[in-house]
Amino acid sequence: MTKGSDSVSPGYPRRLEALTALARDHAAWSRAELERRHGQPAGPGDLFVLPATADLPVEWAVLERRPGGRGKLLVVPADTNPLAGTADVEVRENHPGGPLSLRCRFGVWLDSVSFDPDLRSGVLAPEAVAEALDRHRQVESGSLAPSPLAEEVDADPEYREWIREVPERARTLAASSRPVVKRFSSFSWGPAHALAAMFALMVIGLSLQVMRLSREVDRLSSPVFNVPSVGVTLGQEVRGGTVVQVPPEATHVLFILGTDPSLGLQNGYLEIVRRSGELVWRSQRVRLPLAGELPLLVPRKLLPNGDYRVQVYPESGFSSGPLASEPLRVETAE
Amino acid sequence: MKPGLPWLGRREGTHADEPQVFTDHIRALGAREPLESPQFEALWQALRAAVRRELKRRGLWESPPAYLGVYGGASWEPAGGGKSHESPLEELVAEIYTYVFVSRLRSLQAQLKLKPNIEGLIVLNIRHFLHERQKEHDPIGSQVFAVVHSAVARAVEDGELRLLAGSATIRNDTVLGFEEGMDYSGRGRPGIASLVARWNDELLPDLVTSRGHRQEEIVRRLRERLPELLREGIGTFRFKDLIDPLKADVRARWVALLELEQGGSVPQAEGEEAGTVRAVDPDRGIEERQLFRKLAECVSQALAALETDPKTRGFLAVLWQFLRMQAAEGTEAQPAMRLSRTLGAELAAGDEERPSHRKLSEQLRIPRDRLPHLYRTIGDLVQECTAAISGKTAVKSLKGRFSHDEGV
Repeated sequence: MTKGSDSVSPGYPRRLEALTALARDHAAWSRAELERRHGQPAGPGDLFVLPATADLPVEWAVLERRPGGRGKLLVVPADTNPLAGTADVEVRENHPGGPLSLRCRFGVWLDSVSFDPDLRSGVLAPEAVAEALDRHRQVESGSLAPSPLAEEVDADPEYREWIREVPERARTLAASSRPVVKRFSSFSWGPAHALAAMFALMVIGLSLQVMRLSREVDRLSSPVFNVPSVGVTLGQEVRGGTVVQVPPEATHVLFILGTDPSLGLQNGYLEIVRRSGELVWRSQRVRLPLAGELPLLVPRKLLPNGDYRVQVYPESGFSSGPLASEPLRVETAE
Repeated sequence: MKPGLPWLGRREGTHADEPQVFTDHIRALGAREPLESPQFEALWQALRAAVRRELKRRGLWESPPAYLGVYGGASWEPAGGGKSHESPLEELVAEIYTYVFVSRLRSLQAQLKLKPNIEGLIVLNIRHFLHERQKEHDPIGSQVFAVVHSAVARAVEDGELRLLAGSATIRNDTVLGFEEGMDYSGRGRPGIASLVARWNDELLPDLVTSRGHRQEEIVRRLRERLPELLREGIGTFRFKDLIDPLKADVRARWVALLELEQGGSVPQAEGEEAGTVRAVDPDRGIEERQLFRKLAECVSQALAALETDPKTRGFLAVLWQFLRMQAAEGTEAQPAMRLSRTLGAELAAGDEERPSHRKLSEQLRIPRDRLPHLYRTIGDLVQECTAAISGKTAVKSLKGRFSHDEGV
């Protein structure tokens, strides 16, 4: 309701009053929904905003907990751009949390402690969560069902730009962020004890974190000399794959990546995965140069000894599977 | 060079002491106190100004309001004054208010948990609204833009064209050139009009009717023609210099065709009587658009699953895209009904050849004698899909049910 609304935009006051009342109804409904979930840990169906992606207009939709616990949640970025392509799920306006577009191509597993209960921003219906989870699995398995209208959206340059600038960047930022633990268990102690213990833990934790970060900064501030390097050209026939012998003292491994001209690729995505399929690193959409022109410096701690694959995907994304995949073994040099 | 997505720049350039009329309004909607009239007036003025700015930025200020689904007026503001609150612009602002401040209030309030101000996000949502509306109501303009933008972006990625000035992502004001350091005189490029008309001789109807995965091919064909600009002595140009004459030429050819087919008129920027704005109930508008989207999805899927020879499938795809655009363009707000009416007239004519078929056959490059059968096939699919949607039958259940043999 507006005060003295007769002076507001002649001809429209009643309509505007109605619109404002509608907006407030929506706000009240959302607030009530959030109050019902107050204090509960993050779980499937929740929407959150994350400090790590505060620069982007996204929320995060929780789709599932990792089976077997370990405190990981599968989340996808969600935004209000109505353009929805083949890998997206639309939550319509009259549905809980809507209107939203869930960008299921950009799912990421995050620690549940990353989700501050105070930053819960909404709730989705179970049907929307189920549909998004199904879409995410289709993307992962490369079995995405085609939809003519969604394919038209995939080809829209404004959509492509949005996907590149918002959900893709959001995933990168979220995946590289470290969770900030805000909640501590108080067992059955009294509030004063719990508070004291919390402060003690925070001080110890922060001190350790500061010491670790300080060492890390010192180490990264120094030049890295004599980095072991390996050239990987994707799309070339290499019998038996590539073996990298890393000296015991090496802190980084330098990859010189490229694609074989026979692939005919100009743009695409590169990634390194463990044999189990677990992602080590994935590029944003990049211009793919010919053999040996794209350097990538990877910390050794991300590359423990074992088998990996270096892969290249086409510009259209990850749904159609890699165009070329190069086996790689990392070993400690004798 | 300006940053890619404009809201980034806007956010970075916003300071705490700048007016935050949109942000304040979002906060006020979340509070329980009544809204003050002067604040609301300020909000409305700011929203109107932002909408006007965005219409100009997208080159829509000079276009008929019907391109954005606002009917009954030839221009956004009445030329001779008149009641401004009944203008198409005011109608559009009211719809945008609902889109942004009612429908997306929860999401905007969520962003306020982390951001001190969300002025840029409001502008972003206005852009989403306009883009969505333009795609629905000006499908020809949107489609031509998508193809030309993709072809130019491809040429930039290949290093053949360079971004010389303006937005880093290709926009109307982006200056492009074939060599670094070339000067843009700023006088426009009149020579482009005749060149793109020659291109359209070759590229139509695919430029307009190739959608989805089929769009790639037409993007490639247009991309291959871009070096002809340099051969014509056009070394630098704004994106607008290229897209505007291309769109104008396509429209000139297609508007005549659409008029002929529907026996009425499609939106014209000039010569149209300015009347009272027909305020389409936003809820009804949404329902109608959703119905038409479902219908389009269903028919497109059914066509893809149709068992027929590749040539016939190609003709059907072209005719279907034409009918979709014809239904969405124009002065009426009910595209599904419009589509049914067109098909009804065609089916009532039976195998009798209609005068409009000659022109249609030329433009769509479909043999004239095949048109009645093609119309019948699409008419059947539309009827089946309409029944499925109104009966709440799963759209997917129609897949693979249609089998039209050589009779098509």
